[in-house]
Amino acid sequence: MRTPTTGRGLHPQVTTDTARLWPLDDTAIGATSQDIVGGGALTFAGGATDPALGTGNIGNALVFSIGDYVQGPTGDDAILRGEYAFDAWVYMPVGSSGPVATYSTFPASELEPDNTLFELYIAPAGTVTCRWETGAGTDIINQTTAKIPFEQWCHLAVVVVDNLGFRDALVFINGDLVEAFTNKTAPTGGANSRWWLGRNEAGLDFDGKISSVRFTNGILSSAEILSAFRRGMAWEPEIFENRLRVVVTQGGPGALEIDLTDFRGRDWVESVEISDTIDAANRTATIRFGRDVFNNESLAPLMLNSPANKADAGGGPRPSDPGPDDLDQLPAIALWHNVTIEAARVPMEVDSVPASDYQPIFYGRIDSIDWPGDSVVISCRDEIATLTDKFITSQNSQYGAAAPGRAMELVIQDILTAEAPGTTLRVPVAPSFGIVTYTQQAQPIIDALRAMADLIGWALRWRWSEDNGGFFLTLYDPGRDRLSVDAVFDADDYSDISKMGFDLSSVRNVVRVSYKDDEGVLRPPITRTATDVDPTSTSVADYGERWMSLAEKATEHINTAAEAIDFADIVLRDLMEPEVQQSVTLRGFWELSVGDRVRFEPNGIHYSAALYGAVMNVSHAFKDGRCTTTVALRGRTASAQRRHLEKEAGRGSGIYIPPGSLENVSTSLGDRARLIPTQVQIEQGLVAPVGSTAEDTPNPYFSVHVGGDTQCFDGWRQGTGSSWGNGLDVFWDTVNHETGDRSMTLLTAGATVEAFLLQPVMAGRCQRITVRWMGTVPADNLIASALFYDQDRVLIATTAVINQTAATPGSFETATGTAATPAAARFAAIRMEQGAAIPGVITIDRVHMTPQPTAFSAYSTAAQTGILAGTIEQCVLSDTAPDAYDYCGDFDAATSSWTVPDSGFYVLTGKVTVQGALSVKIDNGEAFLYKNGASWLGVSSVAVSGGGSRDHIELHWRIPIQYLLQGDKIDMRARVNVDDFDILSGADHTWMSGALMQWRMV
Amino acid sequence: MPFLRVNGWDVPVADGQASVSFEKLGAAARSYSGKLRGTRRAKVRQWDISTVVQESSVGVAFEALCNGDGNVWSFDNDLYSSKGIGPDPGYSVTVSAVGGKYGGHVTVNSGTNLTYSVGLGQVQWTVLVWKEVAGTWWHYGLNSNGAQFKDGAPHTPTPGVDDVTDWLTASTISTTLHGRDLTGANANAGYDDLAIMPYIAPDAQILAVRNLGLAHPRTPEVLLSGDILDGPGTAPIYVIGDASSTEFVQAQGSAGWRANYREVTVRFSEVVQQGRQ
Repeated sequence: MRTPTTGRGLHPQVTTDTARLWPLDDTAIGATSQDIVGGGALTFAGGATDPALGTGNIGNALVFSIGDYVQGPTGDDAILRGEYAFDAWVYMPVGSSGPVATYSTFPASELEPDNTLFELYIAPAGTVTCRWETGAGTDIINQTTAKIPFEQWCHLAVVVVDNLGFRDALVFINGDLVEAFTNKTAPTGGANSRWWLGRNEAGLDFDGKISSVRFTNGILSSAEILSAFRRGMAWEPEIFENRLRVVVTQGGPGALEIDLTDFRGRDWVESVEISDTIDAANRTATIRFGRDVFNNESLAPLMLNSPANKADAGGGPRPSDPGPDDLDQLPAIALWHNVTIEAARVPMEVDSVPASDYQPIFYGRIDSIDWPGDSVVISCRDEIATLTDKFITSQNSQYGAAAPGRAMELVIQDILTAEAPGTTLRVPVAPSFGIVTYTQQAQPIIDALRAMADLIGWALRWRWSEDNGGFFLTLYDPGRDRLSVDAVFDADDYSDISKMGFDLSSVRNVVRVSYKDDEGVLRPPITRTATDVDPTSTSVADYGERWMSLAEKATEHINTAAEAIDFADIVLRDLMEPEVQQSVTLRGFWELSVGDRVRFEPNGIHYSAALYGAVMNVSHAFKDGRCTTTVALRGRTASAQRRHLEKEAGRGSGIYIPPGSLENVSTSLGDRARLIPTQVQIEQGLVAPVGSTAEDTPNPYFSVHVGGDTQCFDGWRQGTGSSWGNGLDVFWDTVNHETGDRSMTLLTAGATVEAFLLQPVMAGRCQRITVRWMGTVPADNLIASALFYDQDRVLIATTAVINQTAATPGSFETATGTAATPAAARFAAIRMEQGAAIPGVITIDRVHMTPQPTAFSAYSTAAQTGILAGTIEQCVLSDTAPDAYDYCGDFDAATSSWTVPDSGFYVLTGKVTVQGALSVKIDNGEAFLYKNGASWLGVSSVAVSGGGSRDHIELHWRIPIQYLLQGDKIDMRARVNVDDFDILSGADHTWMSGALMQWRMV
Repeated sequence: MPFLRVNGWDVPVADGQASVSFEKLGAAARSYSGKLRGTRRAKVRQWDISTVVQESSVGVAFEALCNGDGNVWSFDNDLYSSKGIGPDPGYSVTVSAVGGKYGGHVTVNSGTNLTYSVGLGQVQWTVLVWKEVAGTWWHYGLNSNGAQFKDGAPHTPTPGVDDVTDWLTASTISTTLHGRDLTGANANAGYDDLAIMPYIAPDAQILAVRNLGLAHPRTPEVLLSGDILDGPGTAPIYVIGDASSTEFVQAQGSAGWRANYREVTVRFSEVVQQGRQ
């Protein structure tokens, strides 16, 4: 909440029990700072220890930096050993802490080593500690759980009460009791001590501001403390009134201001209303002011002859006194002009209010102008309108960083810098949340920013910063668990309660979050219930299960289960209880803003105990000479309510727009135009994890890459232990390639990449992998393997197919090889690895794995001699070269037989060349095929008739298509009718080949 | 007992021009079954009166008094007026919650000043204050005509002996209480119940304040007493007035509008229901 910082607040009242009242209203650093009750003036020690002077919420203030303090005279404040109260106004800038006031010995007294009778300390987190010492070396430390709000003037009070010889310490913040510490040992000693402001015995220094300090002999009642708070807030309704100024400027700083409350001698403003709600991105203001006066003086923008709408000839700046002699038309009121609304809280009957009393309470732009009646009505939105109206147009920009991501506030600033230059995000406390790389879609800037803030339930608003004296786009924690209040109101402060009730409609107590990880993979949804957030919650028991599922759009930046849980819990916290809602119309209190936590005193009609609530909606109206504030409360501080409900998943609204290019397609989730990566489709069950044909090597030319450079080529993934990324193990290369626009590179020793889309394979057939690749050093060692999977897609074998070093470093070369398919294998995939220990770079332009035909060819390499007539001799076919034509390894050279890899129809052919001894005439030769060692077919018979001498004959054969069963062993044999003949060797003499014609399943 | 006193000042009321009415907050409605249910939160009174014709100067002052013009400093607990006006910085005082004429008081340290920049916006004003003289409280007054009052009566100053301007400086801009004794010599000086009114208070009004026996009512409230309060008890009550209209009456001696006699119509509204805090 804002605090009036113009010094108009009232010092606390002096009573007969008031022992000290230091107004700290010093106008100069002098010898002392007065105690207006008498006797205890504080001394400025001089030099570097003097605090500076500034304006407080009450008169002036002392501004302490590290090393500053003021101190009282040495003596004995015996009151501190009895009942007393201490209250003060303090202001803590962001990041400050320290002791507000202490009463202790300095320098330390030997007689009383432990004699700090009183110390009030604010920790960096904002907790308040009231401490004293018992004389026996025991510190009594009373530290609150509640924290004082930073960046605003706070009233801090401690009341120490006697409790049968012990002490109770009650700590109040802003008029509200936040914590009571009971039965503490009483302080002793300290008879030779003094008051300090800004420093404690341990030498710790305060670096905030103190405006008014009171020390009371005896206790202060809670009513007295509340009164002191309200006085300091300039919130004594019968005393103060609110003044208004409305300034319109065209353009930026330096432009001439048009003060509608004092323009051309008139106050034109009739009414102003400023509204805000926690669910809206921006605040709005509606300003109504007079349209014209009799003498043709008009603020209607189209009244060109109005002096108010004239400017200097030549398009110069607006003159301070425009008149008819100024020729150019320049409407005083125009769309998108800046509007500043300022208010001053001043005592009644102060005739002239100095400009310094005014504080800006709204800054925005004109959205619309209407002047049909006697008034001109302009409506404005605050500066966040610039982020609401502007779209992120540079689509597909990448933001964030690889896991664990880039700090959220930096990502937000990145977007602002790119899309809304000049807008600076203010982050009083960093959220410590990383945003993993994502691709930004076209959407209003504010939506993109709030999508991130919502993940952790933080708020992103144009917010007043007291430290900096202006409105800033601020990312902040709404303070769901805060225990301190910003203001206390009683039944005399409001005139009307227009709403008081509970409502179940917005209660949600079970939340499910579906999300995708940073690779875009859909993860198991997280379901959280109210009791996960608060074990004592009875929401589900009381109201039944009220379920909501958060839409994917809302979870764009969630990548881990922990983040999803946090997100769900935030939504639950804001929605799981039907918090009481109250709307009241208060006297004008423009300091109030959404998110503030306030307390309403019991009014005996609507509630009997203090009602705590957070401001959900607030509207300040300056109208008919009165300022009123209408505020809607809800039970607790939240970052949103209705906006959470909007995230509930509805029916899909996505319209698929095919990407124009596959070269760089966004993978941002929640967008409507995208290519879903194959891997994501598989994870989501949209496609089967296998190719549709055995030829389906995924993305063989590396021509589709999705998600920018954030992930591997579509259909591929880096192997275990390898990382994808520029300079990491696996990345792309857009320079060296033969096809497409880039290639895959393996950059480090052991770097691996593998296809995850499995190709179906059939046992018995074999797979050939062919890689077009390039190394840069001779040692570069490409190892390509076939990974074989069984029917359950469990890896059962890894067969190295290629293991080759670079033959021509710097040039592309082709490597190829085949692998037999294990019998149990049903699927296969490719893996490629850099095998060199000291590698260069392996660049792979393309790769594919294809099933090979079931075929073989074998021939004899050594002649078989001296075979006797009539012997059916098996032909020894010992080599399958030169064509390496036994892809599946079905031919066994040891037995010279071929094993049928799978049942089907085969075609077989062959030739046996036999040769007799010298001058021995062969007149008859036969060739046979044997199956499983038994005679099967006679395939060739040559009878040479007519006699004569023949040294050899050729037994060509080709048989009709045969049906063979898997496992049949076929070999070729020959018989000649003369003794001592030979079977000649050579690929052109004795060979056999076969090929599958047609599968036949059995 | 007169019929109506405002801040102790007898105000003659025209015949038949006084009435009292009751404002009730909350509803008295019947339930569905017909039973009357009262949910009244408060009942406050308001009185409407018109004065008899008064001299112009008296009428103007009465209008202003009823409308709550002016500031009053009780100095009971702080240095602020009833309308929130605090002292200019640089004061050196001691505030005590006790020891004043009524309630607490302020002691302006010797040789220092306690200045209030009220900015009356009027050329006419009256300042009333209680001053401590040797342990006794005396009531003094000063107006923009230079007239002085002591203990409710017109006072002829003796400079250096008993002159208000020796220890009080007043103008349309500001009023200063000096840390001086009655003779104008520097000394710790006690003051109580300072009232600065943007009009010339008639002698009778000043005397009434002197003799009120209570602290000066804190503007805009005034103290209503007299037979008009015929309710339970006749203790004075605090009300806020609203002098809504004045009729000018030409009468013998009325030389012009400004000298016309006046009949003032006022509504007084109870600040809190009697018996409540």
